[in-house]
Amino acid sequence: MTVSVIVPEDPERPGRDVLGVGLVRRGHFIHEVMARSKEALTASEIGERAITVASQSGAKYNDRTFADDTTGNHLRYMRDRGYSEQLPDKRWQLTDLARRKIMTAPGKFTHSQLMPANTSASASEIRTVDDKGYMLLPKQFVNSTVTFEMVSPTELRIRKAVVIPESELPLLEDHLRPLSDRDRDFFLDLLDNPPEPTPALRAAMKKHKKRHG
Amino acid sequence: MADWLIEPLADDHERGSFSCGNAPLDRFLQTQAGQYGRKGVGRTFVAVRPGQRVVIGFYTLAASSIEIAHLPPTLAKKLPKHPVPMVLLGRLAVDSIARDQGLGKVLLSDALSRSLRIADELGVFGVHVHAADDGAVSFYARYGFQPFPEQNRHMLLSMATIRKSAGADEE
Repeated sequence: MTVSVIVPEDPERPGRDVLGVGLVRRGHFIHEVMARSKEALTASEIGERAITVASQSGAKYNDRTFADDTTGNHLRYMRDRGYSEQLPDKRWQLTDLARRKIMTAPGKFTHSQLMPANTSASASEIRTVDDKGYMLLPKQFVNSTVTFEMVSPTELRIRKAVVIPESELPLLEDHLRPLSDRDRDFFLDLLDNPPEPTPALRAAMKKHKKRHG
Repeated sequence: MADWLIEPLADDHERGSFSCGNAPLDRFLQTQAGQYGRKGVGRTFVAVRPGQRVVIGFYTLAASSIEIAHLPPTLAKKLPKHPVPMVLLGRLAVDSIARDQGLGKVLLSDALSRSLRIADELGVFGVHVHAADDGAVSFYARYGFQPFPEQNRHMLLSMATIRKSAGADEE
């Protein structure tokens, strides 16, 4: 599986994410978890989620890698650099400085570029941070215009779109074609037996005549 | 009661802000309707409020025909060798600011009355239209347009029916 990354590589420091930590190190997965969460999290919650992210990415870790105290150590390390802050209720979140660095970074990559993928399946994922998001699409989408369709609150459908200038949009009457046999029979029947006007048509025409004579 | 004037599209009509919710129709009025008129391929009539030049609705009429692909010999006598002449109600749209005021009905009755006058001078079997969507199909069906069985957005109203409706108040 290809796992898209929210916290990208620092273009000036290859091998490290924009918050200064090695891309396959514990700290990076903690950054990922915090960037993907819309809410502040406890150190324990961050550690649990980091295990999932590291696991999906094929990274190696052990029981201590994301323990509460080691996760807490990294959160304080981040705080000292202005990248994390702890709320009065003890939960942690990224600072605006950290989010800006993540959002404005030019580089995007996937964990599969950094380490062997643990499966051959090719899938795409989208991770959102606040109201912005990054996504990784299959290469067939290169240079394509895409449409987004919100299928449900948790599902977004992305499809290739064919772009036609509005001025070139064919209007329906451009597709006039000879009548089929069935349509012909209908047409001939109408020719022989024109229907009575509907009440709405009678009323509209009467009103028009009254106004315009 | 809302009041409108319907008149041929002219250069001084303001149509840049026209918005009916269907972008191709808006664009047609803003960029193509004048050319259609000048080239003689379609004539556009617009609705304005008295004393104003802002277009709030329009329709386009064009000469048209219906071609029948396979005409059995038994039916051949009924119809001419050439395609059956028709009036094409090419486009009919109302600006969203004038919606739900009956302007669509007024435009349609104006278009049908105009078609009737044309038919008095030239052989025309009826008026046909290609409804843009299901809402338009319902709109035209209310006034008697019938869809072709295999082209259900291609709808038709015979001139005989229009003529009857126009003379209804004299009966």
